Amino acid sequence: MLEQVKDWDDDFYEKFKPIAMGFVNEAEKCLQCGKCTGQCPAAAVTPSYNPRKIIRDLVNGNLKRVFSSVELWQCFFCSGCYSVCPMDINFPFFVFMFRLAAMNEGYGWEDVKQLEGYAEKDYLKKGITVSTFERNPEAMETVGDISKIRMAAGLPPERKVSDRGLAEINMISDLSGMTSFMKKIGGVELLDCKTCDDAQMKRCKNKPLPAKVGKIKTKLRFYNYGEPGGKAHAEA
Amino acid sequence: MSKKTLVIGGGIAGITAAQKIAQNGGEVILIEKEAELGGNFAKLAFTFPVLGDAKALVAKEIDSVKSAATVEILTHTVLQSCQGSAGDFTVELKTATGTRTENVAAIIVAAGFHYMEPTAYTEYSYGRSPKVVTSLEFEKMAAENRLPQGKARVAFVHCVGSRDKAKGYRYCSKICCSYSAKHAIMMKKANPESLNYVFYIDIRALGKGYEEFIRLAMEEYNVRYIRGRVAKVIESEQKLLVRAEDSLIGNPVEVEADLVVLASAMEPPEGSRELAGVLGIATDEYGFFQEAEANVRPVNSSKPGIFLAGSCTQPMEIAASVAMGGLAASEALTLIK
Amino acid sequence: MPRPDKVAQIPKPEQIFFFKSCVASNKYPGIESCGWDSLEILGVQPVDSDEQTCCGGFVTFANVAAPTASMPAVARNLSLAEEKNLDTCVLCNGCWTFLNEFGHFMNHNEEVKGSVNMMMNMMGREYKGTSNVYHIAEMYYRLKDDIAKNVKRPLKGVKVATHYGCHYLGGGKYTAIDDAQMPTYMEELIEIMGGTVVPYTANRECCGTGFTQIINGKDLSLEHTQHKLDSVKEADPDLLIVQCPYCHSQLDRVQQQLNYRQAAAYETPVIHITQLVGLALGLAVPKLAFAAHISGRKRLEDVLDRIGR
Ligand SMILES: Cc1cc2nc3c(=O)[nH]c(=O)nc-3n(C[C@H](O)[C@H](O)[C@H](O)COP(=O)(O)OP(=O)(O)OC[C@H]3O[C@@H](n4cnc5c(N)ncnc54)[C@H](O)[C@@H]3O)c2cc1C
Ligand code: SF4
Ligand code: SF4
Ligand code: SF4
Repeated sequence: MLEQVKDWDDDFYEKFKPIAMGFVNEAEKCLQCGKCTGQCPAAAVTPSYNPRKIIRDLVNGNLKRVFSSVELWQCFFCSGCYSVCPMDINFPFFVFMFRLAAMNEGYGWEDVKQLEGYAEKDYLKKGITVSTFERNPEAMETVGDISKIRMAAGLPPERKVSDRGLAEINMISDLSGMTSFMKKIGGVELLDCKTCDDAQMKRCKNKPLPAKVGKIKTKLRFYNYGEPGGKAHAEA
Repeated sequence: MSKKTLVIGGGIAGITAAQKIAQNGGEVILIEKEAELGGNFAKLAFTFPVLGDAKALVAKEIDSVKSAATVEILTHTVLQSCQGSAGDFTVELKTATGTRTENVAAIIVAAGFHYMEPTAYTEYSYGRSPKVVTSLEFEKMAAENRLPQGKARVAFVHCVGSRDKAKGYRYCSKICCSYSAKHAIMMKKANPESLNYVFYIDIRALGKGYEEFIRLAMEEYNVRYIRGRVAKVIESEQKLLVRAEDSLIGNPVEVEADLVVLASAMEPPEGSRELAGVLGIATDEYGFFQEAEANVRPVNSSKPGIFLAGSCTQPMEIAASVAMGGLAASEALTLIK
Repeated sequence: MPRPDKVAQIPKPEQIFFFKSCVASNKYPGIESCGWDSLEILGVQPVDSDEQTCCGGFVTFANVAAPTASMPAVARNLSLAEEKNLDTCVLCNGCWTFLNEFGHFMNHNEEVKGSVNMMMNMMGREYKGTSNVYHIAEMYYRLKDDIAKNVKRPLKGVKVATHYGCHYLGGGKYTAIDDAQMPTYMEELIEIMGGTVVPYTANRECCGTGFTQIINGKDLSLEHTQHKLDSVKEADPDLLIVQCPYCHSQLDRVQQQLNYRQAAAYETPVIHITQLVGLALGLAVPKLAFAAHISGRKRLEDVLDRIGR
């Protein structure tokens, strides 16, 4: 498809840099050398994922493609790209800030919704993000009661954060807008893939897509950078 | 007043300058810190873009400068101090046997380049695997017939230490694209069964016949060019796994290689800042000697009477070093007339 | 090879603020108990505070918290160590990068630091930026002579493979004590404790948890981890050691999931460097809390049988 350069955003990057608090710096230094992608674990399992291309689109201003992409949400945050980049471009920070920007445009909320529970139920209520709760019944069976193991190791049965500590992180959450953000996205159950009909499945290149997450209308995301890969796709 | 010229560095640039001055009736003292003349040229097996016999070419030049009656060659010699101004410099030389003071009218700096040791590139397993070598080591292996035998896969890695702000230099070393093509061709000629892969960011082969030379590698010698900077080289049993993105397709690729050749950067000669300090001339941000003006005064240093030649100013090929040596010679001649 | 200048910067303090890890506390408590006890044995007294919370990294990189929310959380945790005038020792690569990176950011950005401190002051705290954050693996390397002196249970004949984890070496390419691509300090520690290092091809590959990928992009995550585990299996170590509880959880738990999904047989025990040091320093078996581990439980028992319980 012929792309019109006039549709690109001419100065997004310049405007975004200060908003991103210094986390999206020096993208203009990118050589497009591909060392990042060559070392990227996500790219090694799915061919459409490519950090180099995302940086390219940022610098050129083709933001629609970045924001509406599934790929933006496939980074492992492993920093492997940064560790080899000849220009010291800290790409995982870009991804992190970009995801926020994409959410601003209405993309990706369903992913964040899946993770919001950890913040709401664990981080803010207990001060610890990973709970003792075991999702996997087999793991539960193998390990048994973790508090017994803790006690045997000479630790209190449960790690507790003091009331003051909890009050303080909740206060930070309230003051910084994190709580209201979570209210915005909470409260709506996600759709289950199995409930989708064939026509929906065809349209959806992605995951189960709820129309709404909380009070936010989510938009469809696409594999904008090529065919998705991975074993799951190969078999399907 | 003296009519002599001091030439520092006995590489091809220095040799050329000395010869030209002698041919025009001038006297030269040519100092070389090593035991032999020839510099880096003498370490090569073949030259691009026509696969000339490097050893024979350089030997001829060395012989002719040695036979020039008015050139005094001092090996194992370095410059210790320098006073005075254009037309009348007093220089103190540290020779193999002692020190010696001379009066010279002009000085030509032809200290050449240093080849970067890519020890910082641990992602390429350099220094860990004996099968990862630099291009200069490859020249040596080729000269000694030690290239891999049989159905070997060889990967040539461009821009190691060049175009890299994190671990090397921001500049492009200018000639490694061309010599890597030369190496791939040499490899294929020495071992027709070998399969050769060149990983590049862009091909920079600017010079007469250079583009054709790269195409020759691709078309006649079946060298596979993959656009993408190599990300890592992993040791795996007997093989090396070379991983990079094929960025024209956008997909990561892996080559199981038997030999990996790193085209490392040409960096300023060792001690260039100190030498510049002794001479009172300027260097650039990297330590290469700084020309007075890049377009029309390429061989003039920041100080009158001191001239620059060859790869001590920037990475360059033999032909350009020779041309600069000649121009520096004619600048020096104007001072002794 | 470790960088001597970086290693020299690590102090050998009498006391250090012991920053706990969520995954360690709730999934692999042996990391916490061994970390604490080993530091004591090595002459550094850990100091706890029940006011410390999660570092905040997970909610941040899950995009639930914007940097404006996570900066104060980092500042608060670090201020706890500052109040005690101590440096901070962490057990997790994630905590290390997150506290370091965001702390560094605030220290170099007066405006942000100022506004964070406005919030801090409301709760009667202040962030000064004076507590340095060290990974416990760095501390061990600094204290390696003390480790050598205190080995009670030499790891004789135990084959150990290493996994360093991305967020220490990759993210900290200028701050970690070792080279991001060719690290060797864990190998050195293993040898000091009498173990045998087994190399494997995918050593420097990511564990595959991908922060949130294991939840949101499970297929990609499992596929990547499987590459890694295949390579580990080929080398067949008795133990795979990690220095990050998050890698720990991924590498340990995914083995079981793959075994279940594909009827595969991955059975390599994964333990944290604190537990390996605890083992060598002779901590009592319940302190090691191997009961919380999922994969290779039998092999773990074998190892204990061989080197003595
Ligand atoms: C792997 C490789 C392959 C190459 N292949 C080709 C090719 O095929 N074709 C081509 O055209 N070019 C090629 N080149 C480039 C070629 O080597 C250079 O262009 C050429 O050597 C430059 O000559 P020079 O005289 O400027 O410097 P040098 O050859 O570096 O000579 C400088 C001399 O000065 C001496 N010296 C340095 N400092 C001092 C001092 N303070 N006092 C006294 N003496 C000093 C040194 O010992 C040295 O002998 C290749 C380079 C490399 C690395
Ligand atoms: S490695 Fe760095 S410079 Fe090269 S393409 Fe990736 S981000 Fe750009
Ligand atoms: S941080 Fe993301 S883009 Fe970079 S190498 Fe890891 S997965 Fe790839
Ligand atoms: S000449 Fe080619 S290989 Fe050498 S630095 Fe320049 S682009 Fe890279």
